[in-house]
Amino acid sequence: MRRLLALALAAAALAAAPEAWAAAALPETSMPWWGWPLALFVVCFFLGIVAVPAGVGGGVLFVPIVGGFFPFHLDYVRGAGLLVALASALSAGPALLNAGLASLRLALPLAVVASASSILGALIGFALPTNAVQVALGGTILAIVVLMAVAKRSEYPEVAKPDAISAALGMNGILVDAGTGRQHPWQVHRTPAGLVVFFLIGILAGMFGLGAGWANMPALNLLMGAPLKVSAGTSSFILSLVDSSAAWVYLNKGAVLPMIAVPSVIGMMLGAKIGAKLLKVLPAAIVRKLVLTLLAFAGMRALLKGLGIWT
Amino acid sequence: MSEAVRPAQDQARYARLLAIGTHSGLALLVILFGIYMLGIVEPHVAHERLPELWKLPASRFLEETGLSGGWGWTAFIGRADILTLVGIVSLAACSVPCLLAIMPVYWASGQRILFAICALEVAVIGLAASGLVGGGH
Repeated sequence: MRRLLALALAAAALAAAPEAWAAAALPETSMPWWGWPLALFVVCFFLGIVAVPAGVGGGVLFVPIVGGFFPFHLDYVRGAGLLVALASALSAGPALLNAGLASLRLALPLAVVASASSILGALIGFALPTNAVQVALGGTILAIVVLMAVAKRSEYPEVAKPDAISAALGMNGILVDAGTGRQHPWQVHRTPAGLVVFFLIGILAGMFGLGAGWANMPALNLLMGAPLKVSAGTSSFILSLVDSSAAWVYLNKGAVLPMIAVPSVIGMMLGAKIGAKLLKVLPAAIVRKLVLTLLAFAGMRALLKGLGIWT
Repeated sequence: MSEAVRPAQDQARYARLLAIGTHSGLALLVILFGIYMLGIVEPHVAHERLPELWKLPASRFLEETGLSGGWGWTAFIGRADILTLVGIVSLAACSVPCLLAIMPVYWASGQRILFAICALEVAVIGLAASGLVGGGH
């Protein structure tokens, strides 16, 4: 029964976006000014619920869905998307650091590179015409869907020898399995390649206002060889630094509207708390498939909107 | 708690400050937004005007509302919508004290590269915040 209720809640969550789409089609005069922030809060609340069991960051859901189906200019949606991802990453940070699931020494060198490039990405996003950004966003979202659908994960990747940079910076640690109490020492390799990848990730994060967990995770886990849980925790921590830098550019450009950003942040954070509680009862695999389908649809919408085919 | 799971000094210090910064930033954001929504303080842009303005690019929004880029918004900090930005700024800035707090740990333990990386990250966030890069007009 509890599982059924949870599934119904997840289905309602996914149905919330079409409600917003329908609302978006309504004549503008029929919606009072407070209707949009309220709809935004509700949609973000449900997105927060499904994001946790689907293993998808809120920011990556937020930008294409809200950008595609709400009447806000993409500048403010990207600004709010960054803040949604930033607030979530900041909130998770202390627990992840204390539990050893996020590693400062692993994160800091990568975060510096990605922070700098996120500023560049944000500036590129503001310099390009909105339609070009929409097309690029749509293409990126569709690529993310493919990446999320096919990317493999490795619980404890084999790293025979750390590279010189990771050894010099002490990018290693011991992960303690909470279930068994077993200790897993870990180290990383291919740091130069990781730095290049994080440079590119930063550009995408800044340009589109997306949280970049979808890219950070495989880069840390599959490329650099960090354990899966350390990759997940460190990915979130890196976001807290990268999105801080990019968020400042959006603030300076006037692209952060409190009426859009704050309901989004609050809705997503409250939803994520519910989502975390429902983690044990929601069928994560099904929710993930539904969310990826929704994301693919939103990506297609952004692409077609940018091309002027579906405006 | 075993030694292996106890967080290192840098992580523990960073986590403690981050928790304080995030919680106070979020609380501030909610309070200031409440003031804005309830109309306790007059906003710079009337609520009713927002639907016509949020369709415009950010540069046009600034022109239409008489605001300027960079830190120009601070001139209107007494208005509720602009005041809410203080909550957002506090979140965007709350990693900086954490980074500054762990730098002495790295310096004292001779980890000069990590010290320099922290300084660099603070400089990058500072550069972004300064408005020197893409600060609007």
